Amino acid sequence: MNNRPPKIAGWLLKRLYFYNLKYALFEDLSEEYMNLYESKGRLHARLWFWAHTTAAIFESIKLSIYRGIIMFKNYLKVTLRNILKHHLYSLINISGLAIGITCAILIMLYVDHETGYNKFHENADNLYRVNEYFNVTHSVLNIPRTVTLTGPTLKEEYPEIIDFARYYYMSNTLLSFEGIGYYESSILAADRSFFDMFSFPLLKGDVDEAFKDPNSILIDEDTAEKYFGNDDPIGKILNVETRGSFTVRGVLQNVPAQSNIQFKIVVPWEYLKNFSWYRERWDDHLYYTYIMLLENVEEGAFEEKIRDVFREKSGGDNVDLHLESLKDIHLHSEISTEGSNNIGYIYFLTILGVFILLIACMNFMNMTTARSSQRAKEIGMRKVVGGEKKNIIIQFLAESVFISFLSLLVALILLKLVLPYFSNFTGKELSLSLTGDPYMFIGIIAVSLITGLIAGSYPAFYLSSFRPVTVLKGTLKSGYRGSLFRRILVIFQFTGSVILIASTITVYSQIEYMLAKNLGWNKEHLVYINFRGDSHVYSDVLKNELTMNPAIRSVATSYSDPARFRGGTSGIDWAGKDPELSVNIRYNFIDFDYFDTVEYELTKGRKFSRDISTDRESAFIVNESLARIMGDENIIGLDIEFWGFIPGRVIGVVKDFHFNSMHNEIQPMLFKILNTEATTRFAIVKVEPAGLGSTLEYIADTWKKVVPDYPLVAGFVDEEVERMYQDDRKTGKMLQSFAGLAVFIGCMGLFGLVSYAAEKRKKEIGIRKTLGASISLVVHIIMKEFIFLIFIANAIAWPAAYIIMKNWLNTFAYRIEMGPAIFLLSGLIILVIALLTVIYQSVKAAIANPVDSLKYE
Amino acid sequence: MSELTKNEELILLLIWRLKNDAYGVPLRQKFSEITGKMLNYGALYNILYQMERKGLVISTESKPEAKKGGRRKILYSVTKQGLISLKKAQEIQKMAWQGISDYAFDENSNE
Repeated sequence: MNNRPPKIAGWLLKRLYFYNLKYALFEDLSEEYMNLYESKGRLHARLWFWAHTTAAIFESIKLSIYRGIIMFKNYLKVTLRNILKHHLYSLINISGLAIGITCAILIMLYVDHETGYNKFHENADNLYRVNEYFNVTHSVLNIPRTVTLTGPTLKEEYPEIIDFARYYYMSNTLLSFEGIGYYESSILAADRSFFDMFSFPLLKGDVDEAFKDPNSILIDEDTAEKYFGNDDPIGKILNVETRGSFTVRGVLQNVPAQSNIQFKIVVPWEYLKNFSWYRERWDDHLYYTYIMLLENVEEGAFEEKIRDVFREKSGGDNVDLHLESLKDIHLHSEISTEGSNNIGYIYFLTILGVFILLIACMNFMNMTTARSSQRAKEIGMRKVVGGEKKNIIIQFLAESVFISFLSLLVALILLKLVLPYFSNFTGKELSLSLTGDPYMFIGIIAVSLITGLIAGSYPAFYLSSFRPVTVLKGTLKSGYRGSLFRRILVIFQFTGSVILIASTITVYSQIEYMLAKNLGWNKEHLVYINFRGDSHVYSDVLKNELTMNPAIRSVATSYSDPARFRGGTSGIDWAGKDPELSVNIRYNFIDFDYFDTVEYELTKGRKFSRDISTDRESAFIVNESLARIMGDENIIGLDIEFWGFIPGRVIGVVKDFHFNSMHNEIQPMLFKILNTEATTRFAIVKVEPAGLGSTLEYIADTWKKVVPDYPLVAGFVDEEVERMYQDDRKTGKMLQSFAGLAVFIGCMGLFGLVSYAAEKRKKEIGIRKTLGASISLVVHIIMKEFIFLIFIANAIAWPAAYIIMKNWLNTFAYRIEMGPAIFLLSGLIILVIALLTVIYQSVKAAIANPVDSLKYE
Repeated sequence: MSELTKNEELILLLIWRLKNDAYGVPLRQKFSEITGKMLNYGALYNILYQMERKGLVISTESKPEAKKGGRRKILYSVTKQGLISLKKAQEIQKMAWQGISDYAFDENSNE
């Protein structure tokens, strides 16, 4: 019979018992097992053995946890002691890391927000927008809209499509309730299916009910509160200018910020049929159309299938249909639409965040290795009394992780302070809730942990490899390896800082250039007045009234304002045009005073004149770009047919001018006197700069007198122009602040390093001074090394910055040349800041009394 | 130096008493004889491990026993440090009990 103890239990014990006593323990257990086996029998003995094995394993785990806690307490104690003992270094470390972590979290929040767009739709994976790509020469024309018939036709012909939904942004509409009215610019006319495909829930009312009546209206919570306060909006009547009324049939939840489809009000698609211009035909590319595909349909293959549908059906415009996934619209769209963002920008920010965090980590590494000789004795002692290398590594990692969590605490306080400004600046509602968002919480903890581990890794492995003998004998110099590593880190930090500074300068010079560049017209002292709804009927009266004021130089009326040309068309033909050629042009309908008011320059021919009768009906002025396409030589007098039914002749050529952002090339343009083709939408008023306030008051008063039913909508044209560069300004500001932070953190590191270097050479300096060295010589000795590093950093940074900014500038059709001045200036800035830091510390060392540093020798 | 816990004190005393035969099995037996409590081996070895780290006891490996299947034992003995600790524990004990007669806790002692 087998009287050996159970094998599995023994094996388990050997595997799971932590201490080196397992042999003794096992032998003891076996001895008692044998005794029990003889006295009480096999079963009893086996049970007993198992019970004790299990108990022993548990006890050993208990003990190791207990010892772990003791060890942790010990690490913590040493860490705290170190932090307090070297409070200057700790302050630099903690504040540097805190700023780095703050930046990283801010950027993380922003990136998280941007990548979360449109994900709240349940069907997000299967929704696609139908885009149109026009095949035109001389320009690219891709639009995110299509015609009314695309949706229904596609659904009928392709079983892959579950459903389609169209919507149309109504022009500014004046809605009023009991006499109080507001312009509403976010009104959608949408199909019933819009609410099935997208997840825009209704809080009150019923969609089906609402869509039975074309005069229903669904409003969001904000709008409901604006018109009705706390009253129940259901069943209330909203008046539409002079054209009738809507009945409120539902309240929508406010559209989330992370939606590319933004609206406040929805009316049924059927409502559009009231308008005379609404036609169901293969023209008017005004309607956004989404389709929902079956689960397993492959996007690319299906896109191929529908590409030619438009051309086949319409026989008109040369248009390809393309699909774009709803999830791609915000960051990956090939068509820039309002509110969309660029994935490149997101990558850029992510890199920036990581970079700033890295700079802060490097500070930490730098400072710790620099102080290694101070701590070398501690390490030597630890090793002599039996501290293993492992323990020393753990000690240093624990220290840096502890400091990084301390920095996290500081960072969270900083975040609380700066988040409102950051939200305001980015225009996104960003908030940090650690409890509400587990991913964010884990992310932030992970960032601090990784930061701590990275920052601590080099010092940990570097310091733990010291040999106790050399350390304790005092012969250890902070070695060549360590100082080379520190130099590389400093170079990296300053390279990054110089790149950021050079980029900031470039962005700002480009913005300055764009604002100062001669636009080809005069945007100063121009006030625009927008005629909304039916208010344009008063335009002539208003113009007459305004011109009577001597402070107003001239008034012109037009279809579009000079800062934004609304109209775009390919409906242009001229004598001798290549039939294959398809040109997309921008146009404006204007009155006789327009050219003088905005001060366009003419290069050929003449302006529109009241005295020539044909000018009103059949005269065109083109810009140089269009003239080039039409053939420069015989341009004056060339026969043109516009929109297929407006014939006329070219009477003049206007010098190319900028009307939209300088990201874009100047497009071909055409002007005609406004007759019956369109409605007057703008009055452009040139005012005298003197007495501007009272002139504006006069304009407002005159409007109130002349146009009774509509609130005045007006503004300065130059502000509209500046608004085009808002995004570029944001990029500039963002770069500026991050560059500032990077330089600041880098300088803090430099400050620490220099003070350490001065400290280390205290005796040398003392001896030099007693031998008669001047203060400036001493400063020179300390600075020499650091200036060298900054020069190397510049040498690396300049080409890098050049390549990066060249790419950015390439997004502008009109851009500055990057001269050496930008690089020299950024090099100079970093040099001056670094020198100030270095000089402060080295002067302190140089003026110290040598007696203090030498008296212990 | 930290004070001994009650269990440590008892085990230390037992090791001292058992002299050349102080290893796991008899230590555990004696412990339960004195206290009437069962101590499992895991807990016993935890105590031994801690005391050895503190330098109160020292362990040596014995030669295998001459009989068949004889085993090696880890024998424990009390160090000088251990003896000082024991003495101190004894003194504390004495001081605490001083002036209290052995009969103080008899049932009729309150009369």
